[in-house]
Amino acid sequence: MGAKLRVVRRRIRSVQSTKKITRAMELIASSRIVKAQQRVEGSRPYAVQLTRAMEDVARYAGGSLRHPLLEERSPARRGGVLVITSDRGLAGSYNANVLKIAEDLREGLARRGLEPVVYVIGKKGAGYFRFRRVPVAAAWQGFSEVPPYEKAEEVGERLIADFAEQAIDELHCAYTDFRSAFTLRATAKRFLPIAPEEVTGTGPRPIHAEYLFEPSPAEILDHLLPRYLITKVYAALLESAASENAARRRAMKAATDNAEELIKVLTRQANRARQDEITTEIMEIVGGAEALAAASEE
Amino acid sequence: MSLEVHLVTPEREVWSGPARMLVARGVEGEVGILAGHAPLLVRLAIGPLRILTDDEGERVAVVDGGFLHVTSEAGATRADVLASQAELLEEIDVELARARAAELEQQIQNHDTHLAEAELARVRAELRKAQVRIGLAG
Repeated sequence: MGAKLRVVRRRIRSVQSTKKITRAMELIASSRIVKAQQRVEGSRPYAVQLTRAMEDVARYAGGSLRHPLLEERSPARRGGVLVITSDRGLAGSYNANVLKIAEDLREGLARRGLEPVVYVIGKKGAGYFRFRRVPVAAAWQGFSEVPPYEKAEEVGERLIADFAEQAIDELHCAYTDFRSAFTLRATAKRFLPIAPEEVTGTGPRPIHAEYLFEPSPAEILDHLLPRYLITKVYAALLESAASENAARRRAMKAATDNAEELIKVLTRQANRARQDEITTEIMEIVGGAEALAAASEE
Repeated sequence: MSLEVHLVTPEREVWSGPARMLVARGVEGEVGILAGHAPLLVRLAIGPLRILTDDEGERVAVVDGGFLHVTSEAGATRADVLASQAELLEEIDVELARARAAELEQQIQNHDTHLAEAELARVRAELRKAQVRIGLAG
């Protein structure tokens, strides 16, 4: 076998094994999207009912709803930015997109005269900020693909504590919204202070005069609002997890398709090299035979 | 007049269906809910939750705090239990709870100085969760 043919065949084998790996990752990501979507669905009833309960407290209190988590601070000095990225790469532009939104948030805060304070979830985001020597207030990692509720609690409690201690006066979150398997949108949302419109709702549900609260509405609100924030962090984590898998599936599908294309091209090259070899061999044989014939005639 | 109970956590819907009565442990004492109950919002303690179902049966669950929200609309009463964690009796892993309780007790015993006040309160709450599970299923 000629050298050229051998080289091309080796490349085909290597591309084929890469294709097998990317194909496997594509299938794993596909099955995880479904699971992640189910988790998003599963979290919805709690979020809806919690909001309903909060609306009732707000409506009962009328316009006099007061709580530190609802209070706009002026002047605000520091703005928290919670960035949700993935732990692993190979997810196309997933992390780049959400980090771009995070940078926009930081710039926006700086322009308003606020000092940005960064919180990161996911290894990729932590690496990004470390490389740029941006100080990070807190970082969590190891659960970006399947975020458990306890982690959302941990993150949420830290953020609430920092907000209470005035380490931050606002909190914004950069995460990836999972619209569908084909539409992922890196989004920025303000988490703190909670906008009063968010909790008062718009429905004309009248409030019962004999509404009972145990303990008092104010004390219940004290426990409801942190839960509400944690639920929002959890929702952002779940949406991001679904998006991460969708982005990875897409990236791996593209890689698999590219590998297939490359194999086609390389196979063609290999065939040509083989044909060339055969042609050369025939020429040699014919040449040799002719030379022999010429020699015997003499 | 009817009563519908929904027991939900942030991760899933644990149980939902029609019921005759719901008994929960609030931070200020036990509350019983029947169909037609006045609207109510109660903060729950770590404790058992009993649902007397329509078919004369009973479902028991454990809830780790949270809220009980009761609303009525056109004679249909709806009771939502919102817990950060909840398990039905048959889902409780007693062995796991026992191991957890032992480990937490250990932590409290040799906490001396290295556990902060808030941390100690958290460990106590965790221990309470484990104990309620053992008490119910053990």
